[in-house]
Amino acid sequence: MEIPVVRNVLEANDRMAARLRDEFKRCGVLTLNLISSPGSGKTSLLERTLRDLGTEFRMAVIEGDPQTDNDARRVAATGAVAVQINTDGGCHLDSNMILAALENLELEQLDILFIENVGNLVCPVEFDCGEDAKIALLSVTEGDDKPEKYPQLFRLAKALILNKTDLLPYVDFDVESAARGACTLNPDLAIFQISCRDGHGLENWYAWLREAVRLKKADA
Amino acid sequence: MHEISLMSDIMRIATEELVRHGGRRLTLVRVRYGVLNQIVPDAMRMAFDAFIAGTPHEGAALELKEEPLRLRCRGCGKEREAASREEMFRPCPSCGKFAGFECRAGDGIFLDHLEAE
Repeated sequence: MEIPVVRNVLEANDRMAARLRDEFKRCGVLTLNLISSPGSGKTSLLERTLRDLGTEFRMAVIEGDPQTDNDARRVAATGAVAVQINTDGGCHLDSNMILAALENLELEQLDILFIENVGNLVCPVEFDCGEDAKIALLSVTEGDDKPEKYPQLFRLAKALILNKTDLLPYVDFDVESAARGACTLNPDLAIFQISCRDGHGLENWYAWLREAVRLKKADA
Repeated sequence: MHEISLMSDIMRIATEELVRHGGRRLTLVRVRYGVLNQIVPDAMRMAFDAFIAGTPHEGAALELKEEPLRLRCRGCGKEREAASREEMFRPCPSCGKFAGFECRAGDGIFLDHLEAE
């Protein structure tokens, strides 16, 4: 017996993500899905952002990690609400995990919800979590050819954050080349060069966040 | 590694369709995915074998079809099939410019076809 089917394999995740997106819209919560390799500075970026904008915005973080609640503890130390999801070895977060995490959050009391995905440049990209934007992070201690190796993330992200720029004098990372690779895939990509360590460039990222929150509230 | 999650969705959809069509046992599952989805065929096969082991579907075949990339030049608008992902980072062969490309095909993961008894 032949059964002709053409069904999107990710349909169940996409359906749940659409429900989450409606809910984020209803509550006017800007939701950002942070995706990078392990160690590029997602948690450090969140620590800085939560501290520096803590009086301006109400923010929370959903932390995805294969094991431990170390990152959630780091984030909670800034005073922000952090919900830890342990994927038990799993390589990405999906929309059902986000739904479960929302039980611990008051969406109506939030301006920004950050989703810190599991450190991985491939798998998280395929699983929509209902976010407004994927934010790609890349640190200058990695290869500047990451956009060529992992095109899907850089195609679909709305912003690219180049972190650890304070280390540029000591590494061979070519900022121009990384930016060119990413922009070839995605001409509308916003690129921020920052250092979470010395704070350089963070103001531009904060300005982008303020505008994104304003647009989200206007759309709610 | 997301191949395991994908296979779990594939088998859920496949058994749903099987039941809907009154079938008993899957003999062939065909999956189509784009070059951009960075799927590792061996990981898909391993996940498939694990999912069907000890079920009525044991012995079923998995057919994987990679859909090539179709690129449209943002400069001249010419569309063509690309032989590899690397072509996204090269100048357009038609106009010679480096204007970047839109991906018109080669993204998406679909359960395409089933055969059953």
